[in-house]
Amino acid sequence: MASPPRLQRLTRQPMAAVGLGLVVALTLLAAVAPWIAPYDPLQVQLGPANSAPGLEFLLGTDAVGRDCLSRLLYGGRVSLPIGLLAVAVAVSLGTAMGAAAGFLGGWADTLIGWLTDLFLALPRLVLLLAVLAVASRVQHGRFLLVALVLGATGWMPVARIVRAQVMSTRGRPWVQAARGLGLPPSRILVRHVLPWALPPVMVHASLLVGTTILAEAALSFLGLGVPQPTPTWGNMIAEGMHRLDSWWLTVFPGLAITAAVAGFNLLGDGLRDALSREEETAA
Amino acid sequence: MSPTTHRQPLLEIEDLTVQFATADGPARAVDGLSLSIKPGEALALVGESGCGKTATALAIMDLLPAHATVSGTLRWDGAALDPRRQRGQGLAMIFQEPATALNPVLSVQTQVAEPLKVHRRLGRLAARQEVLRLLDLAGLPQPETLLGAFPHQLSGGQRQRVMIAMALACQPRLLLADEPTTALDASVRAGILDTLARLQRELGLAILLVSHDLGVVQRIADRVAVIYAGRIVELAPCQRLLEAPVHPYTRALLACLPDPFSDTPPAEPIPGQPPRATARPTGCAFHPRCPMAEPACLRLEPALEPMARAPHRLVACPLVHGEPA
Amino acid sequence: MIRFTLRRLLTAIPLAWAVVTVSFLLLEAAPGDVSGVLVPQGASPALREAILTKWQLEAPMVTRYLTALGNLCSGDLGLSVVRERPVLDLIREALPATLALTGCALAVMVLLGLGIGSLQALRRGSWLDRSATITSVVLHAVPSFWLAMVLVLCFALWFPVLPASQATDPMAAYLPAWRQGLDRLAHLLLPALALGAANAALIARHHRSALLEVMDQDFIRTARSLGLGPWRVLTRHALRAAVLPTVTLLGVALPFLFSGSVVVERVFAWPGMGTLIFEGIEHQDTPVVLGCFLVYGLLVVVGGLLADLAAAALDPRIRLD
Repeated sequence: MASPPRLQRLTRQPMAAVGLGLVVALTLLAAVAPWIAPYDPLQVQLGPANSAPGLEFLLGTDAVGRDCLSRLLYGGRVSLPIGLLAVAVAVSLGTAMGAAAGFLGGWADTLIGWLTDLFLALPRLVLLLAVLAVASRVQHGRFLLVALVLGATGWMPVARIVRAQVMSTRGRPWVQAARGLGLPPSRILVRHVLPWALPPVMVHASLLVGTTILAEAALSFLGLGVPQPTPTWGNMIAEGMHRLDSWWLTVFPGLAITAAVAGFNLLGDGLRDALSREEETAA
Repeated sequence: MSPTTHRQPLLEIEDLTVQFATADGPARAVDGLSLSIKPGEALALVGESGCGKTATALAIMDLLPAHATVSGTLRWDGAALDPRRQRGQGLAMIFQEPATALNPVLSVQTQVAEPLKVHRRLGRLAARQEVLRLLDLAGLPQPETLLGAFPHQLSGGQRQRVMIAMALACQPRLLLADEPTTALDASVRAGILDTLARLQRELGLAILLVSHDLGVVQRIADRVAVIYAGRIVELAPCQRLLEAPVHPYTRALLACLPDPFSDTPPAEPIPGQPPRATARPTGCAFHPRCPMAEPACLRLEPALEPMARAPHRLVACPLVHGEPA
Repeated sequence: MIRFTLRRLLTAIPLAWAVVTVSFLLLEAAPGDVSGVLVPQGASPALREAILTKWQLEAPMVTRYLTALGNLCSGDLGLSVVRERPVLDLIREALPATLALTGCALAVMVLLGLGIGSLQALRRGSWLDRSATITSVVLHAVPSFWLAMVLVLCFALWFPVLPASQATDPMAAYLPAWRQGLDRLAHLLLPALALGAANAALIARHHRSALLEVMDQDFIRTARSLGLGPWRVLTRHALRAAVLPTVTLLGVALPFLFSGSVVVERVFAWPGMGTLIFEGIEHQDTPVVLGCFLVYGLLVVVGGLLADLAAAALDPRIRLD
């Protein structure tokens, strides 16, 4: 069985190293936000409203006098976990679907394939809007709802990857051998077939976090994500939209989103390159 | 096969060297090769894979990849050859893999008509007529049915003939054919070769045929040049070479070919391997495998010289110059 | 080609039907009474009765479904419960603006993507190639609505050269026709750029590797051997063969394009379907939201079909599928 790509190979690529660095840095910042944030992110009228970045408030204040830096740090505690949770849901769902389609074949494959095409055809944000519109009365547990819905709309590429891998692994010698030994199919699937799908799924999962963060930001921006006053990067930008001349309200959250997404994208690319080189040397 | 005449050579290659930059150091695919081709003559360049024959053809056309260094002199009709000017206007080439050498998304008509439009400035209708004529000349029956076809819809033999038609569109005086039949079924090969021979006769076309297959060569070549480790080791009229090879390498090469009409089993293949282009032996490149090798062979690189008793035959081995041919 | 078109149409129809069914299921999933969702607040009893009958709201689900299908096929998407106007009319008014925006964004994507990707491939390894790659990575990570706002900041606030919102100038009707056209273009530029830039980065990246791969192919060497000039080899042979992955990518990117258009429209107060659906959510106007969802879904299905047809037109080998 192939070993997972080693970290050194990953960091040898400059772009991948940058990606890893960004992801680690942002995660750490979000994790320790309660200890390093200079002010309470929800506290209003800490200082003059709409003041530009300065010594007292490093990233400025917003329309009701809250500190932008603290809000930015706390924003990471929403955007990043939602992204990761949603991807966990998407990967689980996608793996189950892809495994079923690839392993069972026949009608299961046709049905799941068709479902995949359908979900891929629906614009994700529009679908999210429709679902959230229907569930608009639900205010509590928004965090979980958003993460679940994002996950439920992101499983398709994972399913395709897993299906392809399962189908190609199905015919390999050790699977035949396992079958010959009379091992139950579920065990064969989980222990002998699925592990091979792990590396490409990991690559895609990393990229998926990026797109999920973007989708969550768009939702927050439209006011449909986690509700105020909890700061998310998306709803901070929404506030900035009404006061465009207070450029600091817009610029910094956007940079945070870009850094996070770019980090995960570069990480995913680096994983992909490391994987393909593994295959080349193994071949 | 047309007789060679004493006219000015069409193409002269002098001391051609082609070097590739590789991870293991510079690789010399062609090492001081000299050759000339007369108008209307079919010359075959024969050797094992990796001996530099394809590189020679590509060097003539200036189609080598960017990491190749070329030195030497090329002359066309006596003047310096500028391949980029002669490509498609006197000089044309057909390639080994017709499946990949044709553009998969363009129709036969579009591809064959393109050099007509670019070089001969034919309009649409005139081009269509000419395309039909060229396809017919290349030996394709019912060319009208093929005009709208795409390469993946054609057989291997048809694709190669389309390539021939494209090459003919340039009204070439010299056609370079790089293993034109190697990728084709055995049943189709003879047809392609006969077409090339016919074109040579009817159009006075000179052909440089690159091949590893002596059977192919025999069918169409006037003269044969045997190439080993990037250099020509023997050059002679085709029949003479096949009947009475002189250079030790040529002899060994011919000896290990099975003779379909004889009961005697073929001799052992030549011991050893051809030298890698990154590590040439000193002196004569063949000496590690040569049954006649002498100490002098390690020191001196033999020059390609006419034989004493047969000046029209050239051989690069001092040990055989005195032999009758 | 015609047979391929028919075959593709055959696969598109079930997909369209599925979109409709999903819309219906979403409607059914709305909490509360379905009639509460579809009937305007201040409706007269007669109107209420009419809607109940039209949509068979008091019949079992299967009947409701079939009735809904029938209504949709005849173009009835229901009544906006807030504006008391047919949803179809609202969408018909908003659709051209959205199509103009996404159309222009597509043009931006294709031109920028192919242009930069080609340049990168031809000047591989140069500083242009490397800086374009870095720019691509960044652009791909940038939220389109944020990019939109940054563009507005730069080009409408700090250096006011382009308008910041709306599709046309309020005074446009008084301008001569050509000035009106120019005005529309000026208004289109920033939103289309914001929407198209991120995807352009994706296309540039794929096109770069596609073109590099094509340039290595044998048929390029054949074209050069025929004495065709480098420009001709590039445009008529290399690009022609390399463009196919981009066309396929465009088809796949359509859902993302429409999703992005919703937020970009919000930033620019663009009078399109994005603004419509957003207002629908704000005012809990479910028929409008579902109607927009349906139309977006159908647009993607149609767009995907067109992309596949374009791909088949470009590469005859696809027609065999």
